Amino acid sequence: MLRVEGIRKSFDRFNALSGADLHVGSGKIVAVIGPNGAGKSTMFKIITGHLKPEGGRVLFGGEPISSLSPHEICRKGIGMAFQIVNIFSRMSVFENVQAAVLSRTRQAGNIFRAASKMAVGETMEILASVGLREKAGSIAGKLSYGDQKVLEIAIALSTSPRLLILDEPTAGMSSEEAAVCTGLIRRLTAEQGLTVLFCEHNIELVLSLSDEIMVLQGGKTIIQDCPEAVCKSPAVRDAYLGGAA
Amino acid sequence: MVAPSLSLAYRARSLLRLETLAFPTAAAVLFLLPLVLPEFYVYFAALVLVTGLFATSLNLVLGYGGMYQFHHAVFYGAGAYAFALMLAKAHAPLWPAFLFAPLVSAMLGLLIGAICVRLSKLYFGMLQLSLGSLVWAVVFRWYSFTGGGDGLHEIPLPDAISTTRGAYYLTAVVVLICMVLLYRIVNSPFGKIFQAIRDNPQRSEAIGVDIRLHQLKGEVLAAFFAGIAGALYVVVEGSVVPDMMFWTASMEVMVMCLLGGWYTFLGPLFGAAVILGLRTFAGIYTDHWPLILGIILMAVILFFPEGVLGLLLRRANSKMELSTETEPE
Amino acid sequence: MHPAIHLTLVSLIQQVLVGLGKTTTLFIVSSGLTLVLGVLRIPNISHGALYMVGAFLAYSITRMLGGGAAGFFASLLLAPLAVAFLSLLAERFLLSRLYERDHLMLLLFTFALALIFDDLVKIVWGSGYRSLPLPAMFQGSFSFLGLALPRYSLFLLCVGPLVAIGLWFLINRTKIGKISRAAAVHREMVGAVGINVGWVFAAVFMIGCFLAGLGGALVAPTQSISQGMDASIIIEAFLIVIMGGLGNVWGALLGSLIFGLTDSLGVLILPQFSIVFPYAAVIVVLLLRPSGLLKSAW
Ligand SMILES: Nc1ncnc2c1ncn2[C@@H]1O[C@H](COP(=O)(O)OP(=O)(O)OP(=O)(O)O)[C@@H](O)[C@H]1O
Ligand SMILES: [Mg+2]
Repeated sequence: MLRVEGIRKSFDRFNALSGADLHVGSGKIVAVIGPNGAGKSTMFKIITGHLKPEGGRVLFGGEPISSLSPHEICRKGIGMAFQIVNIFSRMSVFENVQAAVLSRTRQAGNIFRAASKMAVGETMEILASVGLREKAGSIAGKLSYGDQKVLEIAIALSTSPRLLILDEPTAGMSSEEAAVCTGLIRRLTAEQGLTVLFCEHNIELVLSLSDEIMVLQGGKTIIQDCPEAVCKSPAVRDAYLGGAA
Repeated sequence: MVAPSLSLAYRARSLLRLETLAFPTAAAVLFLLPLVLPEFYVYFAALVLVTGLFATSLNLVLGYGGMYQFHHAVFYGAGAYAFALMLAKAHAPLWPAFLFAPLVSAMLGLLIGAICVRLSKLYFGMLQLSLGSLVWAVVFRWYSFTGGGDGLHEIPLPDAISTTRGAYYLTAVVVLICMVLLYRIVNSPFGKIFQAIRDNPQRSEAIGVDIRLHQLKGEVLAAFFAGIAGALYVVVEGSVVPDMMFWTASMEVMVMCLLGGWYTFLGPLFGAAVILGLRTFAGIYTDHWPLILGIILMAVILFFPEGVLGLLLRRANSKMELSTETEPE
Repeated sequence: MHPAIHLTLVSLIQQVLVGLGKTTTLFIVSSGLTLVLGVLRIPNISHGALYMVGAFLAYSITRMLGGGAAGFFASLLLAPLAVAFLSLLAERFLLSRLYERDHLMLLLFTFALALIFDDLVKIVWGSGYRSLPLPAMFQGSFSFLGLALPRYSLFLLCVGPLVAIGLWFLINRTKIGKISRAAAVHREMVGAVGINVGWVFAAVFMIGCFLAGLGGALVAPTQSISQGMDASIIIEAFLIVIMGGLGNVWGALLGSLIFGLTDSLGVLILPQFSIVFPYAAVIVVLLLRPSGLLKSAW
């Protein structure tokens, strides 16, 4: 479904990505792991069009998408939950999700109806599925950090993506919050059969959730394979565990 | 577990009740005012309504859309000139001229918007300020067509609206309709997404919103309503001068929005009333109105950055939140 | 050569020269604006008012010193200094509290300053026109190959490069320049390193406003000094700044050249609407390069 081939990106002469490859098959859950600064977030932002690559290609459903703008890529079916919470912090939780639903149903340009009566059922359903139903009326910026991260995922889900990208969904959460969030991701993937690309430092979660793991280090792909093979790979031992230790 | 959503629904319903009451009340008050007020105040009320509509149209893009609409007065002026020229030079009947005015403004909004929306936020504002000044300069110098710096005076208006009260009633009806439309736009999906863009443009893109297109549409809508306000200005004043589209006029209307409160719907109208009232009042005693306005503006920025109505609303809101939290099940 | 062609060639060259003279004042004023915009991030719309204050001060100073060449040269220094002092007060007591606010608030706040400066000018100098004669040494033209080159335009052509060199030296060779360049890129970092950013900002603001005052003093003998002379220069300066790239002094130089030349040559084509040409130029520039000709500071 998604194929990333040899993308390169540098910031002020610093090479964040220097030839990263990735393949995500339809219905698969693929994890990207790598030490801090490996370029994971940069790669995700290139896939979603927030950054432009300096070389290489990104194909989605066989079509090159790296020249498209973020909203076009979203409409092609890629939804993203950012690492750094990126929500509409002055709007209510309900409005956050509703905005995404309205945008997906092509209602963004509608000036004739009252928004408060639109897409209410679907929005509430999404909020219920992530466990934020009770907080629908709160201002998003005033939620706890854990809830904000969950809302981040809910917004991404509301775009009904064919491919859901989660950038460190549990980072910075307390262990209880992380447990809730992990459960949520498990349930969503099991129930809805989503194709998911995510990155995470919590190795346990990665191993239990993913069909395939891609290891990124220093902006390069070291390996992409099933979890067992990745664990056994000496190259990963050296590079990743050695580097992290 | 149900309590919070219940209280939410309750709050929404009570707001709704307020809304349905607001319209007939406003209509009744606007209808009755001229029966009790002396002539000058009727004229003044009409001017406040016109300026209030102009400020509200600005607030659509500036407050709700978060765009740096630094030169909104151009669209106001374009509407006024289009209307006045249609009547004075083309001898058109009232209604076609009245429809023509906002269309000209909207076209200008489309043109300036198309050039500006590709740019980053501050570039947008500064380029718009420059392009608007170009429009002003052309109007100012095209003496044979626009009357140049003198403007156009004694615009031939139909008898029914050439009296103060006639002009007032036309203004009141049109402004009331426009305010309802603007209110609906603000609360439509378009308006909500507009606010989402203001809140977080990057996130808006990532949920599939075409920001540039959305802003362009907002620009055209705001220009359209500013054009209506411009035509009404001609109805109320009977004349049009290039000063109404000079850049300082744009600053003044931003001050009105700021004073009333960016994030409130009625704030700009309120701000317009306060500024116009103070200017008229101050004009009786001194000719140093700019100095007074400057000092007021500084004080507002330093002490009430969310505007008077914004401040009141926040106070009321935090009280409401407190009361709903303690609401029994 | 055919006399008509000769005539147009002469008028062309003379228009270019006039354009370059205008370029000088535009450059001086807009470089100050862009400096403040790049380092302090303030879209200072009172810049035009300060330019007007500079012109009125130059008028008074020249008059006080007898109206001769000495008075003129003294006013070129003293008027901008007085403007800089005025701006220092405004920065220290008012603007420095607002650095964290967004551009809209800063724009409106400087609009408040502009209103107040305008009114102060009205209170001090009244609302009539003033005019100042050129010093005798700059009157008339200098003829060269059959061209009449106005002496004052030639003088302006010498002042422009001097200011440019001074700015280059200030930005690249002084501590203030280095800190403010760093501050334009990473505001927080400069504060973290322990430099008192406040005074750097104050200094930059003063220099920017000094340039506004200098521009005003330079045009004082060439046009009528009046209320409202601020209103058009500020828009022209904004235009130049966005054309050149926000915060880039060399961009301001380039922008002023384009503005001055398109404006003065446009007069030959469409006298009544020559103003259209600089605007057309800026639209073309921004359609091709959405963030200005040269690298903008941010
Ligand atoms: N906008 C930027 N400007 C400059 N450098 C950047 C920028 N974004 C990322 N970088 C650099 O690129 C490198 C890769 O960053 P990236 O955020 O992709 O890492 P990551 O793998 O997501 O790390 P983490 O696990 O900490 O999230 C880092 O060294 C970072 O400092
Ligand atoms: Mg990351």
